[in-house]
Amino acid sequence: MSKTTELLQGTLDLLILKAISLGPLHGYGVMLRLQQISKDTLQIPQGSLYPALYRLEHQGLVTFEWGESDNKRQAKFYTLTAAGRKRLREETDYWQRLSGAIGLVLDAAPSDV
Amino acid sequence: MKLLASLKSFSRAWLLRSRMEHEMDREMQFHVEARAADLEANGLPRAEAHRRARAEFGDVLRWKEAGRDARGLRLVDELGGDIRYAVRTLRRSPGFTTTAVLSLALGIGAVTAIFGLLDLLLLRPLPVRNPQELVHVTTVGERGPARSGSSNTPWFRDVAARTDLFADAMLVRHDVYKVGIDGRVEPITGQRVTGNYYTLLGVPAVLGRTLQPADQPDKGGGPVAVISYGLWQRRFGGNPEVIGRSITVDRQPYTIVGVTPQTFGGILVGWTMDVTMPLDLSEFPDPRGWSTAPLIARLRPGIDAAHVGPQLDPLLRRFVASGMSERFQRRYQRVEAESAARGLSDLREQFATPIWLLMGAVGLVLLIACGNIAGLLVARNAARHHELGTRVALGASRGRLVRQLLTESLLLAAAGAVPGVLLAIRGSNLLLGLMPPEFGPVSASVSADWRVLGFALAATGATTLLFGLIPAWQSAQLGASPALNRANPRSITTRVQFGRALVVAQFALSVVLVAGALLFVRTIVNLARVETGFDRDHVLLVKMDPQGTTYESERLRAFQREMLEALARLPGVEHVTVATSSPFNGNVDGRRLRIPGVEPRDADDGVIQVNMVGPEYFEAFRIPILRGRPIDARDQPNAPRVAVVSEGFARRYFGDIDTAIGRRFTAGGAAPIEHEIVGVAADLRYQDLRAPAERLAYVSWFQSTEVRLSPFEFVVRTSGNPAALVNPVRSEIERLRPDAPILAIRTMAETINGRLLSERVLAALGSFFAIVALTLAAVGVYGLLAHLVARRVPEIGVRLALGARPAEMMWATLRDNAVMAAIGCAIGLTAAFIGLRVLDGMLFGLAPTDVATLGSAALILLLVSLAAAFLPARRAASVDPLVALRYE
Repeated sequence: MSKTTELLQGTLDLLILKAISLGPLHGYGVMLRLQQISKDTLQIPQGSLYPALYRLEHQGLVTFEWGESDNKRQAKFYTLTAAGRKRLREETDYWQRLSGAIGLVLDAAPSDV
Repeated sequence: MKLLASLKSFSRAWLLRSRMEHEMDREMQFHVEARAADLEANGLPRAEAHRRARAEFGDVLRWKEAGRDARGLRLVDELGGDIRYAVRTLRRSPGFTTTAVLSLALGIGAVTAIFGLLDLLLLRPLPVRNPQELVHVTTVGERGPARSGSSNTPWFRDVAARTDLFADAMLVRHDVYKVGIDGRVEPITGQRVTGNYYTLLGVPAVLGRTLQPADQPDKGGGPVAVISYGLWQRRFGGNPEVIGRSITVDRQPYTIVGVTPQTFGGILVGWTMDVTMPLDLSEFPDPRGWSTAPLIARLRPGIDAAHVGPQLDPLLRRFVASGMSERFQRRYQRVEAESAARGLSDLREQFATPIWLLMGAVGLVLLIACGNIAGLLVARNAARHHELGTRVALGASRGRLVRQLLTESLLLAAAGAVPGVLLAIRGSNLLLGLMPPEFGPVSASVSADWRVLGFALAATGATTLLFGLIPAWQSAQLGASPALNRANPRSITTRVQFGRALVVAQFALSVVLVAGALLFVRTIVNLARVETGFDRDHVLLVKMDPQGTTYESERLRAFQREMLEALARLPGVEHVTVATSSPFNGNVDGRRLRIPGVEPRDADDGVIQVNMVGPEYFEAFRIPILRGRPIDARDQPNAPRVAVVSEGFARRYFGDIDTAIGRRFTAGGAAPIEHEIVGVAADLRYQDLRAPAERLAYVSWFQSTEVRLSPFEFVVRTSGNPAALVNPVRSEIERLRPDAPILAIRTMAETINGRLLSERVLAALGSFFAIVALTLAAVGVYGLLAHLVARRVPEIGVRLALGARPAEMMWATLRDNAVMAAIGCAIGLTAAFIGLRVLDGMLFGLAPTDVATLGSAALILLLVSLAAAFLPARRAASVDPLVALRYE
């Protein structure tokens, strides 16, 4: 198995929002897409997706619909709401600024100081 | 937006709980199966694929629980669990639960009942636009402010012209009218108002229109009337065709033009003005004459009510200077604008203090009840410390324990509050029904509106915290204590000290209540002993009000003569007479007095209370005639005008009663008539039991030339109980004259009692509350001592085994009680000594700090506590050392 990374606290919600923003997904689909995008480097406890999804639903960031999955079974498909899209934009910006800043700090050479 | 989503998700989760659970199951199951299918497709054997999928998913139960948490359901789950648990524990101890619920029902119910009255009469703002801007512009003089208002048209116009102060101003006259609807005439409370009344208040019509300035007769308006919603429903069945219908008001026809909203009953608190007509301002043209008519104004925005009086004082001085008599001048010294936001109220004046007192008393009772339940809860929670300790050991937080114990308390309080509030509404209307009828028919009632229910809710919540918080917190602390064991001495000591403190507090509060109640009971007794100077036990008063009926001038006089004869024929009647101003009937008739040869010493000398009486008046009331003769049948119109004066009258003006006979005086205004004094009657208490006897003049009813339309009374002297004659008298009058204007038939004793309403209510309810308080305190001390004795059984056993005598054990318990009672008495007596001074002025024949009363209150408390302590004390004495030691 390739090298995996533990998820930072609080980032799971952001990743889920991102995954869903690409198209309606059921819970298992969210997991597959996260693994696929991250090229299997992120290790997410599978069951933990669900409390996170319910939390997002409770906050009005995602909504759902029962639909038919690829294997012809009923599954709950999540989509982003307008509020969810806005939150995703904000969080992405924030994350990029933060990671950029942290990157700068960590990359600093002795001559920069 | 977000809040909405959360609420939606929460309520969906809560209301559709089973569906949500089902969805969660399906969703997670789908995940695991899809994963297994994928693994299988990758070449794993089917069984292994399923195992791996489940392992990867993790603990389903944990994720589901976390999912519920995410939706805010955990709190609900816990609360539901707490409630179920509380119900179960409470059901397991029915004795405790019944006691607690009953005392809470009593406490919360009583507090709510009194609040209902308080709110109706004292607190509630008028249902009009911006009530806080309304002021009652009144004059103030040596007799205090003219509470019911005092005005005339020029004054009103000049005040209303001050548009720098007022946005608008109006005059109101309240009265009882004989209103005829479809030929049936009944007395109805109503008012005449200036035409801007409804626009000033901002009250619309629900049907038709309200009055307008052009409706005033002085502006050429026709006879129109607006009726209340209540009258519309009661007499017209809510028929919209009522607009344009004709009614008679004091025999004058009026056309109904509108109906006002159900919530609006006028500005006089406690009454609904059922009929409203325009006021004729030309009725009060004299700037020197002042009539009872409240002047209500709406302040201009930004104007302070306190500012208004001084602004109008110069205006009043101009009025006073324009030829008012000196006596009147002193009654019109300055102007005051008091807030009319809560309406005008005679009742407020009279009953504000009693109602606040009752509220205080009932608050104390509720406190005592809370103390009791707190004590019981502490003892009960102590018995549960194993359970609580175990829960802490298993990881419950202290907050969690407090929450659970408080849930139990809240459940108790709610169980008490529901029956309490139901009784409260009935209770306050019962009290309202006691209002004396001379105020007119009270048409307002307390209903379960949001103000009353809100108060009950707040009282319940506060009660829960009061009796539940300390025990819950204390128990949670005990439960959390690491040194938890059966005999942790420190925790037990705190608990017992808390219990003692509660009992002492209950004793102290009870002493205050008992002392207050005793003061009122003794006041009533003292008042009942007052020598009135007439016989109050065998007299029936038939109050008549001819105004607005067909009985006037000679027809009225004939009616009176006819009734005197008819009633005298009834069996059981000894004397019948007629009078205008019998004692305590509220009908005073002060007239200007002139006595040839006597110079008035002060303004008071110039006024005399006059009572017009028929023959046999003095016999009917058994008022002794000290000199000369009473007024009798020979005093007819053609005979010389005669009068009987009271002893006080004779002594005041003539020095002694012997020289009064034969002297002359005139009483009255425009055309005074001279009367010759033919007799002197003994003094009597006239309108107020507390006041000394007033000077009175009696003149002959049938010698009066004018037949006045003011209310009068037939006075019936009975040989037996006068109450037994109420119905025979009424049916005899109605048989002869079905349209006779009977206002009320009451015995003299009832009439006097009506005057003592607040004293009687305070004595009765005060005693009731005091008894409840004593009972609760007794239960409290009994509970505590029984608990202590039970806990000390082993110790007592050892002592007895070592040679102590049982009596000593008994004394120990009684002493324990006596110490608490003594401390409670000391605190309570101090509080009573300071606090009960508020009763000053409401008592009669004793001071609020009356030593005998306070001492009796303390004695009663000591006796009650002794009785309560007796059972536990005997139990202590009857401990069998063998059994006790074996128990250990």
